[in-house]
Amino acid sequence: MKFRISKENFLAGLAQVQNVVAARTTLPILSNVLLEAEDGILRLTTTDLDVGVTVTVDAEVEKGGASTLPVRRLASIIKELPTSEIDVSIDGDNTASITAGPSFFKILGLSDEEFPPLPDFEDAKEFTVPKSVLRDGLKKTSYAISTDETRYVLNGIFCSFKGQAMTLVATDGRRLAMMDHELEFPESSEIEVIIPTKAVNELGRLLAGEGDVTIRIGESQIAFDLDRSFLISKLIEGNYPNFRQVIPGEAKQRITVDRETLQKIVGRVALLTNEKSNSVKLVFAEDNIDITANSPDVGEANESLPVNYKGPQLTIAFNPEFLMAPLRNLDSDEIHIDLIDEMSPGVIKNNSSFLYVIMPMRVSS
Amino acid sequence: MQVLPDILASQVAAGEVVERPASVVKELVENAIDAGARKVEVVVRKGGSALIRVVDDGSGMGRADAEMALERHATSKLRSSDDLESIYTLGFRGEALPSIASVGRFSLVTRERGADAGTAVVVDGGVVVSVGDSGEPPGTQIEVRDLFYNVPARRKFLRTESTEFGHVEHQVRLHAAAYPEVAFTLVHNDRVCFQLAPAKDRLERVRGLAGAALASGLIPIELNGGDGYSVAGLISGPGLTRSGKVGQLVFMNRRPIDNAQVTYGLREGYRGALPKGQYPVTYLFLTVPPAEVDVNVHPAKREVRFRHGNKVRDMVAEAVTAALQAHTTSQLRPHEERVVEVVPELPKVERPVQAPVEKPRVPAADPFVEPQREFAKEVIPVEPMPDLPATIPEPVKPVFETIGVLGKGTILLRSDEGLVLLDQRAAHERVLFERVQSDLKNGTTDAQPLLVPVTLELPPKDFALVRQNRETLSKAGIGIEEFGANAVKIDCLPAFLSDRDPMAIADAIVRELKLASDGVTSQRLRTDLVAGAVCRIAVRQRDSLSESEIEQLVEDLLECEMPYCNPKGRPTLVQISYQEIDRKFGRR
Repeated sequence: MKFRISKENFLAGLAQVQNVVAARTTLPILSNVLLEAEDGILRLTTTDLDVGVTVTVDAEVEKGGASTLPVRRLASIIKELPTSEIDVSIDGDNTASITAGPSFFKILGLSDEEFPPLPDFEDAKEFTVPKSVLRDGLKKTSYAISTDETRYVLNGIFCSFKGQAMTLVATDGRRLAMMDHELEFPESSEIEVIIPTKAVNELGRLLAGEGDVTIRIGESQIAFDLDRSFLISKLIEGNYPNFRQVIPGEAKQRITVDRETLQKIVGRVALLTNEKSNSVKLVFAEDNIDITANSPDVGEANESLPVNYKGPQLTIAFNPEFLMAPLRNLDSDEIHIDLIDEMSPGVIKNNSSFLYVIMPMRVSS
Repeated sequence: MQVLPDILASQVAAGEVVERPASVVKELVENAIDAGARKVEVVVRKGGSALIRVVDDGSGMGRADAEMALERHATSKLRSSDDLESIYTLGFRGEALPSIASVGRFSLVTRERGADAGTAVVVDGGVVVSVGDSGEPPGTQIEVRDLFYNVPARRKFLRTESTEFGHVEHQVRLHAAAYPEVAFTLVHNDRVCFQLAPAKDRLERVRGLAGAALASGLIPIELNGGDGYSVAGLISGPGLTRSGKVGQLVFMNRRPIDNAQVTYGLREGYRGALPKGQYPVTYLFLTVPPAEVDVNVHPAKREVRFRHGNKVRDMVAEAVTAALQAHTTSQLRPHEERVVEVVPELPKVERPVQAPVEKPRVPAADPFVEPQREFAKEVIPVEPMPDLPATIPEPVKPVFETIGVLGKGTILLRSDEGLVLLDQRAAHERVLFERVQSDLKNGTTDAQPLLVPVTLELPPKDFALVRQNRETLSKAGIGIEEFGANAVKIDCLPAFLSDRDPMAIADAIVRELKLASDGVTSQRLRTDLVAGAVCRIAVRQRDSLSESEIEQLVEDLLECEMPYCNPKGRPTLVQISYQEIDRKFGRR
């Protein structure tokens, strides 16, 4: 196998696949990237057996073939090479010779036959979604995914294709982020799955640009087909909590605030929280919100924000991170905060189909 | 129906008093000490079944007393039932000698100080064989050969030589600990087991007994409980425990005792520092007004009954807690000020039991001399106790420099004394434990209600346990409510672990409560229990901490009240001193 490739293309391809490879793995072949050269393209594939990613880049292929090379080492070599054109040839012993002007590297690989093939599945349900919608949906929900490994059902994004909509949901049991998008598909295709965090993160890397994504969902796998890349992942098996029951009914109060202003204030005030007392208090009074933090060992902070509010005084404590996360990831100028009372969950909404439920904290005064 | 012949009666009594060679040793050594001996030598062969010889340099006896001593219920230590109220001597029942004499080949050689000749009495199975003169140095020498030769049933029950000797050795050690001013020698099968010179105080004696290595792990304890009650001695620091009670030596008015309330007090005092099934090493000396304790519960006198048992228990608990805290604080000071050399000398409680040496041991011959009674009326002089915490200067934080990480969960630190190993998990547990504990105490727990409450079915017993602790749990931020019969609903978790699976937490809480709840009734213990459970659940096994996280952990740990062990008593820090390292490399 022999090909010439631009440094830029090679690096871009490697960057998109190398994160799939686990830092420590028991199977050496899983540290390697599968390189397949044919007809003017080079295909790079990596997998950790749960998630697999394939990226295609342009290359001048002199002789087709397939082999595997350690992906991290390869990437660090390519990054440092002095020229913009790189010649790679891999012999039958899977030894790669990399030439870039005066530089020459020889690295040892493993046979492509050892590389586990990515699963192929039939009977898949197919959905086509604009890249931008999926990208936006993942960005606005994925921060709420639970990182506690024992709650494996929550270690991913719940993805529902039902009622002519795609709904993405993430929660860690204390807040919940949800995004809806209208979508047409036959009723027989309705399905609900949980996409693991790792796939969500990798998908984020691949979702740049315009165009559509084809999503195929099989028995226990999901595949995302983008034009020059492909991701396949196992699904998380288990029952996702009934998130609809969590969404509060009618709100008593609605306060509209400037998203960025609120985010910055909470960020400032939260400087005076610590591990021991990690909460900010929002005191809603007539036409004003007072945002305060008070940590016995640290000190206190207070900032007020004029708003249009005519309801009764309400004092609600939140984990500042839970309050800031959606603000940081939304893009609208204004957001609405819907409240019922001091102990009931609060809701943050934008003017489209985003919704965020946040549980207040119980803090000793 | 007939009255038991004397010998038989003695043998029956022996059944209670003389259980095994160690009990003979106990009785004889007690007699020696009661006789004011400054030197006691115990020689045994074959674990004591072949020979037990106790030689003392005490007051000795005249011939009449020597013969009388072998009569049942003959004692010089007790004259009227009033005396029973205030017993300072170790023995008093007058059963020991005749009992022992009835179950072995017995000989008694004794000479009073100043007397021209001594007396030798030979008894065989309770029958006096001969009484004659002897020329021994002043003091008493008692020999018992072929113990239980005439009581085959009892002899059969003797254990192996090494087991029996183990008991003998323990017995002699007990006396040696209680009487530092007396020299003790123990010889087994012609080999000197230990030889202890008179020590100037208990600390020195304990060092001699325990060995320097163990003694360095002991910390001084003392507390004056008022009204004639006090406690003093040495106890093991956190992390030093034994799986049996063998190392837990407790003395009351210099008498080795076994008392559940004292054990309980110790356990409570150690609080988080004793793992389940582990006991501390203690040399605990209690002083209790003789009138407020009953030592006449059992012939072997190990068991005692306190009139104010709770007072004793609380005093012990308080003293232990204070000692551990003082120790912890002092440990945290830099090397120059280390407390090791400054161990306060234990206040010496004057030995109350010692009969004046010049006086005859058995004063029966002289009705005007009643030395024992005089003594009994004396109040035990106890030096004023220094206020422990006040003597310790402001703690200065030790400098621990992080070197790196060793394997999983062990952090290496450099102190000015050597290498310190820190157990990440244990340290984290300790930090969280104290945080939860203080939150519980101050009611400052931040709680995070859950979006989706979970329900959990429990077996009735677990359900009851949860219900019992519901209030404390809720103070700890765990909202747990009854939800129908034998089911609970969890709707709130402490903020710092609210990302965890509520179901798993509920499970773990029930498990921890079950493990630790046996007999827990006091509110404080319950608080500790919940705090312990919460912190153990909260700690995650993490592969590695960043450098700043390590620094934070060390800092947090050193701010703890008891940083040296986790709530279950496992050590958090282990030190390997430069000396030890030098020794291992053969540099010195």
